[in-house]
Amino acid sequence: MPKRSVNLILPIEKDKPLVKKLKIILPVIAVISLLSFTIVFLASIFYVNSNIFQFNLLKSEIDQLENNIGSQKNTEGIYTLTTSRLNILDQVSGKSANFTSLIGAINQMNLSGISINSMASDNKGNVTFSVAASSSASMDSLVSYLLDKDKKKLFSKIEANGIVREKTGSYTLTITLLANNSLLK
Amino acid sequence: MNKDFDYKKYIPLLKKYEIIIASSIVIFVVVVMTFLLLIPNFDRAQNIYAQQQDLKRNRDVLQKKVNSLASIDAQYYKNNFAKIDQVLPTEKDYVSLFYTFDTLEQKTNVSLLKTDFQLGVISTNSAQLTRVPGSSAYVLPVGIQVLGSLSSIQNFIKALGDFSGRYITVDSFQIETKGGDAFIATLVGKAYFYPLPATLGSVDTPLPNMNSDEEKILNTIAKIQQTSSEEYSLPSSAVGKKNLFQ
Repeated sequence: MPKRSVNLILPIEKDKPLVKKLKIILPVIAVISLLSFTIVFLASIFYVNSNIFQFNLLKSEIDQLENNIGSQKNTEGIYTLTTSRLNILDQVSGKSANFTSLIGAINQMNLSGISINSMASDNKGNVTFSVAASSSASMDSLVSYLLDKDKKKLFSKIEANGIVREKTGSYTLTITLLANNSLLK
Repeated sequence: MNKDFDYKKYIPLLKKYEIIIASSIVIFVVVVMTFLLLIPNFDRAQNIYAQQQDLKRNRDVLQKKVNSLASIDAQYYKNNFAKIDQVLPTEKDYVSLFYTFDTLEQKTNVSLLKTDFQLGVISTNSAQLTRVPGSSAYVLPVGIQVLGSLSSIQNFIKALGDFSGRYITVDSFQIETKGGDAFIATLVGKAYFYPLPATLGSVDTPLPNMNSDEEKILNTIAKIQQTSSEEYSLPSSAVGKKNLFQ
């Protein structure tokens, strides 16, 4: 009988090319990702703790500053109340009219032969006044004065009404005009 | 039929692909841990950093306030607060109005003929009060009639608004001659008062700034003579017998 041999060694199955590649790439990726994760995670813990430390430092600084401010409550109170009052006075005085210059300008009309009987004004500069002029020459001076003020833009919209000539030769009239804002400051 | 799970037939497969399987498991765990631990950690750090920035801003505001408070001469403001209270009191304070008129009468050589106030404003606190537009101050309408020369009336009107006493603004005037150099002036205007606020604000409220005009007003007011409380009191009147049987 001829000899028969039995081959008991199993044939090695060769891996497919894709599997071969994966067996190389995947372990590398796994190691790199694990190392990276560990490093980044430790760095994040350090970053968080550092931020918490800074936060606590700032908090204690703020507490100190608040205590300091609290101890100066009286100073803050008196200063705040003073500035708020001054602010109101500044607001109000800025918006209100000061008639001193206007009265002075009208008073200047008390020239020779001119007397002011009455005057009135509101805070927008609408002025009305009545004058008596003893003669036509005085009237002339009055008109020159008003024209001069008109030229200097201190008075505008000047109107004369109710001009009455008395038997004695004197004149009484009412004048309305608009005073410039500069006369109300 | 054999219903038991025969795992032994998968062992050769596991052995063949063990490197791939283990690497995949490691990568999967890293990805999961990244989402579970790493990203929340960074979020937390960002939140803390943002809160830090807020605290820094708050600290800067408080430091600025502390520096401002250190530079304030508290005694100067204390000394002048009573004078400012004369010019712009916390209440209607009609006494200071009368005192102002009396003082100006003497100072400017006018004679005070009449003063008018809105009665509704005097009578009760619930009466209608008008505010100064855009502020918390209240308006007290006043009417004044004075007799004097044109120049003294001019000085009187000027003195009403020069912060030497109770501050009064004039909205309109009417002046009529009484013969010679005598004129009667009728003034319509407003006095003001400003009640104290209930609170001053929180600890991190910045201090208000004082502009140059306000400083000028303060300097003017600082020069006025402060009125002592004795000058406000009425003279005591003689009374009759306290005991009818004496």
